[in-house]
Amino acid sequence: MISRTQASNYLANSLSEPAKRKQAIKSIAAWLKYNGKSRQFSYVAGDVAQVLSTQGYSFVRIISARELTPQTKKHIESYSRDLTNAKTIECEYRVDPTLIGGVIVETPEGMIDHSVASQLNKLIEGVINE
Amino acid sequence: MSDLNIKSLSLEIENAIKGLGDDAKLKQSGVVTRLSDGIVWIYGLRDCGYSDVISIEKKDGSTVPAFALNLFEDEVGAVLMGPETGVVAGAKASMTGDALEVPVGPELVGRVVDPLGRPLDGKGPIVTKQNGLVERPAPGVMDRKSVHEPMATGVIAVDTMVPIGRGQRELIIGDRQTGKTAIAIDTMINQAKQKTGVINVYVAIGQKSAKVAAMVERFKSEGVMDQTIVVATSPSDSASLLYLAPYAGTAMAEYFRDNKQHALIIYDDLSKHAVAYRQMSLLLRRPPGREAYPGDVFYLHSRLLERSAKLSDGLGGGSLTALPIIETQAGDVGAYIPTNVISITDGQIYLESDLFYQGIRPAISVGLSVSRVGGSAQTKATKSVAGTLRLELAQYRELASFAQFSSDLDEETTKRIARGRLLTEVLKQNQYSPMSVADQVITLTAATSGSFDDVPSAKVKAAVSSLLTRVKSDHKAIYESIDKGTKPEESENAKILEIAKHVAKSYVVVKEDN
Repeated sequence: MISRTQASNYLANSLSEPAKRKQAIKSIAAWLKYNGKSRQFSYVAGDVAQVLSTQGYSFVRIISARELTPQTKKHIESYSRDLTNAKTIECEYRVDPTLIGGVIVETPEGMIDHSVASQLNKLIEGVINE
Repeated sequence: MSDLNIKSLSLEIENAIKGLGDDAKLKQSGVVTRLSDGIVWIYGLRDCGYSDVISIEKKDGSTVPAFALNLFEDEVGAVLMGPETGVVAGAKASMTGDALEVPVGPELVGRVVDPLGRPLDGKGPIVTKQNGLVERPAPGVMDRKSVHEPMATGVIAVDTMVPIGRGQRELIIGDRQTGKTAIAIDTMINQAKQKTGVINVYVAIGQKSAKVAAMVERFKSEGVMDQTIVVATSPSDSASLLYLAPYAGTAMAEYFRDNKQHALIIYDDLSKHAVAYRQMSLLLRRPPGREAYPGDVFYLHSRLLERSAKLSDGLGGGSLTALPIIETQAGDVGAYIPTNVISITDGQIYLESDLFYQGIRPAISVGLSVSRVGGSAQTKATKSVAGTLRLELAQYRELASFAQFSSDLDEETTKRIARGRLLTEVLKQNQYSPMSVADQVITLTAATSGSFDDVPSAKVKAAVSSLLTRVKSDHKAIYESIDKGTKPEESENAKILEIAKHVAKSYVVVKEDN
């Protein structure tokens, strides 16, 4: 049986050609369904993003406490490009008020958490551990 | 405050901010996909290494540490090191970038801690200057020296028949309630009584909390706690903590070994450790082998015990002596875990239930107990009296069982049986009362020379006690010389025997009067 990583590699390498892409998505969907892994579709997407990042295409998710201004978005996009060393980046913006402030930048290689909520949690844990 | 100071201050802050910016590195994170019985399966940690620490975010925002044990192509299997309450599927997991470490150093001495070095004794936080890796390679061949210094246990039967040297691994094995822990604790107490400076590390693996608490109280009352670290886990702790306990204890003990000191570590017991590892392995879906233990259960204990060593002079000559304990079921030493640990260690002290219930305590089986390297670590004084002891006792046990079927025995056999009975009485010892080298040598000099042959069995202990008191008070120089390990001279032996005969007479007379 092939692993999810192998399946994701196949999908990532089929994305460049539209005809192949459609067939590959169908095959992966069938593979997920018949192996009882339907809920793992987001992991496949993550694995594909990981493969693509090695080819210079990076998918970046930016989560902020409130809607960002166009200027801030531009700054963060430029920061993300430097961070990932990617030729092309695709950004997705999400708003999560529980972050209180700051942003979280998620890339296929990892994440940077600059949110106020995580800083506060660290502070609280530090106090508890002392 | 001058303008110049303000300017330099703002520059400093600016530089500090730039420095912070440079530190921002991508932290690999993943998601918990499944969770069951303290095991989490995580998606997304592609660079995770074996035994790497993973921080898992709970529902309330706090984190619980876990360590990776299964690295698969699609997911990582990790074991939680804390309660799983609040950990849910979908929880964020991130790598801390650390391998598993525990605090080490002299600050831990006198404390009771858990396997992560967190205090359990309510004496406040422990601040150490350094941390030690929980999993660390054992010293190599050239880093070692052969065992040559004695690790006196204070148990006369052990020190004379199965001597232990510093840096040795001597297994204590036997059924439940046969006095395994008692020997280990007496050894710890002896280190304090004889002021050897050896640091004790007692690792309680899944021991009842009440038992550990009583033990700590005993350590305090015997003055041992000042040179002891207790690493405690209870049966209610997670299997991961039970699994980590001996490795964490070893990391703490290694600090002293590596700093030219001598340490003694007691693993109480490795049977429970193997069971905890079996539980984790089965939950991690590793294939079960014999007795459902995983394939690497031998390596589990061999890599642990190999860390106990006598270091070479170039590395300071420190040592770490290990006394692992194994509990057998119905005396079955051929079971999987006992045979594994027997083959790893440098000998074993085998305790028999039958002897224990006959009142022979410590219930050491002379035939099955052995020390493979300790002989060269024995002091000359002990060696001078211990020579034929093992043989005589082994012969006695054989003859004694044979004699049960026959009342008509020749003189030689009767003599051997009488001597064996005497030696068995002499080797009986109460718990928490370790004997010094001099006490042991003087006792055995008298017993093996036949001075106490006519003393009734019930009075032997009393006779030995008065002999020791007499030698200690009337011939202090002889006593002290022997206590240093020097072989007693002919004249000194003659003096001891003279006193022994005198003491024995009074006990024989008492018997005749009755």
